Amino acid sequence: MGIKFDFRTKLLVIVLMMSLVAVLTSDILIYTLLGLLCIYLLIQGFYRQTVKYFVVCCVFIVLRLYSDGNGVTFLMPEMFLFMILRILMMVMAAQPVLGMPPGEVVAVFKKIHAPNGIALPVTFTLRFFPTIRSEFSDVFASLRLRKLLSWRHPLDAMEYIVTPVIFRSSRIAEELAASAESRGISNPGVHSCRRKLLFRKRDWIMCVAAIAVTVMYFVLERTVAV
Amino acid sequence: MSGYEKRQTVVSFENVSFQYPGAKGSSVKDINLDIKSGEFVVLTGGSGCGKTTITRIINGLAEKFYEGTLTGKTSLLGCPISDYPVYEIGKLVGSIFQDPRSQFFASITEDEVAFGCENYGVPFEELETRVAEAVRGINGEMLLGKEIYPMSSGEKQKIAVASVSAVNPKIYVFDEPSANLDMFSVEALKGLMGKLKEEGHTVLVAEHRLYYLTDLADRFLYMENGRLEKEWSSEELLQLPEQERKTIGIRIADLHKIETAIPEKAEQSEILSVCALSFAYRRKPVFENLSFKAYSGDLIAVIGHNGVGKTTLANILCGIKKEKSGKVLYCGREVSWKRRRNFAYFVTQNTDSQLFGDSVAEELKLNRKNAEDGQIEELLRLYGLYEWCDFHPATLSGGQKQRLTLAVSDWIDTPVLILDEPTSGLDFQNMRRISDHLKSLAEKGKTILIITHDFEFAAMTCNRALYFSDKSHVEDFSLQGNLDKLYSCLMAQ
Repeated sequence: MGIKFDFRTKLLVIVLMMSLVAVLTSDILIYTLLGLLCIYLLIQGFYRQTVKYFVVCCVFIVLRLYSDGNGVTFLMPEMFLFMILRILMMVMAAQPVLGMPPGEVVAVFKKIHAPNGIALPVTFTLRFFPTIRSEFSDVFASLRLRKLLSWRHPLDAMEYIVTPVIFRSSRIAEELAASAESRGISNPGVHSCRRKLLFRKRDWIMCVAAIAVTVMYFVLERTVAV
Repeated sequence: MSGYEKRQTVVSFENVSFQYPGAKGSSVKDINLDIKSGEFVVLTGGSGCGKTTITRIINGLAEKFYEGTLTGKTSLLGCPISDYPVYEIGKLVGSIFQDPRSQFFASITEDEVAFGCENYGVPFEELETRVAEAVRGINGEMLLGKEIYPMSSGEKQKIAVASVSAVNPKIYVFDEPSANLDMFSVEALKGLMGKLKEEGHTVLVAEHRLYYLTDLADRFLYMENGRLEKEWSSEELLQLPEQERKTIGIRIADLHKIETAIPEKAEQSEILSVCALSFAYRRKPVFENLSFKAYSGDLIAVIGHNGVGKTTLANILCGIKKEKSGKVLYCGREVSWKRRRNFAYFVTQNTDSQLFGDSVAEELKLNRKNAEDGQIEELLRLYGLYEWCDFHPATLSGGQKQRLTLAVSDWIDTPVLILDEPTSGLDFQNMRRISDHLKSLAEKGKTILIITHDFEFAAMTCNRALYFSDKSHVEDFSLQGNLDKLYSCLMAQ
């Protein structure tokens, strides 16, 4: 179960998180923010996902502490660990919008008068995440069968993994976009939604809390930097 | 035809040609076509003949989405198609695409069915009624509230039809709708199409498989190299001489006319033995106590409805997945799951995920770095791919990619080859090419398992069938004199 927030609330959390990811440099602030994101997911009922994110966060925090700024072998340079934690912050903030009903997403974008140039790519991206997962799984299976997956040649392996996924993704994206266009996604008129779009008291509370946390982290970041 | 002559023309093409951006020539040329209200028209012809382009011109995607160049006059319900924005055409023309995986947006059935109506601003109070009616129309009440991702292709295709019918368009355009469906689902699709026709909708279907459309279609239009070349009624198509049908390269219209070509086998050495194999996914059994044997030169059709565990079995046999219990023996020796890839190779449906090279020739070199150019040329010529040896695999057509994955499997040369739906979306010529090639591999002693729903292909290629009737029962039978049984197994739910 868990608390259901309006799409606009979730969107605000993502935007605030983007600004924090761009600004924060202090490790302790990043680690505590990851903790807050776990709480954000838990209150919305993403229990299994929270456990997974928590474990991954812990592993990378330990690796980062262990590396002490020098990276862990050539496979995990410091920059890689640094980036993974930031990517995790974005993914955790975006988790609640993945799998949302597309009609609700489109209707909210229409309601807030978001330009099509932003609204349509976001809608497609939300649909796209589950597809990517199965594409990676197919590619890994084929690579294992052809015995092309090797730790001895990590760069080759990376190229073999990424190239087919990119080609396949672009094909699926094109088919999805064609399907959406033929079903009226670009209709400039009114879009309705089978779920009522309500910005409730809980959304106000969440938005105020998210803005307060963001301001606090900006201030703390400046204090730590000084 | 006569009944339709007085009716309104809903789609009209006058000397229409269309060229995609960057393409060397036109995909369709000088098309003249009138489709009347309530008519059921089937477009057929070989891969790349222009069927899909015709459907894209009608639903407006050709010009507005693919941004190609159209010449000639087109009209939809009396107005030029180019005058409509695509979202307006969506209210008039409902499009159902080939691959059900890449045409849905929502995660649960009701949201998906409502999506089109939501885009057209159907009032909140009316949405639930429209969704309920559309779901009732496909007999899909049992799909309500369910996640779409784990559904079978047939169920996804049903939802695609419901989500289009909720908008209530006048015209339905289907692009190879049966390509990913088992025969039982094809029958269900036929029922849905029949209902649309009864309700007075105009239906246009671009399709290779014709057998399920002969009861429904008013006209079959045959295309070749972008031109409309022939037109038949259902009766005329059914009476088409077999030799003529094979020459022009269309799939069979009457399944009773299928000729079997059971390959003869000289020796019987046991290559694969599966003993009491079981597999479970998240503690839910997929299949239990599965046992069978396969011999050198066997061409086995692995059949059964979607989700019964055929692909899982293939994954276990080639070492991608590990069984829960049981044994897999190759050449009489038990082989651990990690070592099975030395004995079996699996060509999956998703060809894009199996090609990794920078060029067609490089694709083969990945598995044999020291291969001589002559060897590569010989193999590519065998598969009709030598002309494309410097092309990137991603730029090949679907049929060419499929042939390249088969060439790779020849190169890897394991004693057992497993293929998943090798004829999905293929025309007759390419299907026959693959069938002949697999038979020649079997003659050389390779054991081949083919996961298929395609009766025509199985009958002309395989000598045995493994029928997964349920998770604990697999029936193994010879196809010699058993085509009726193969048909009834493929049609079983």
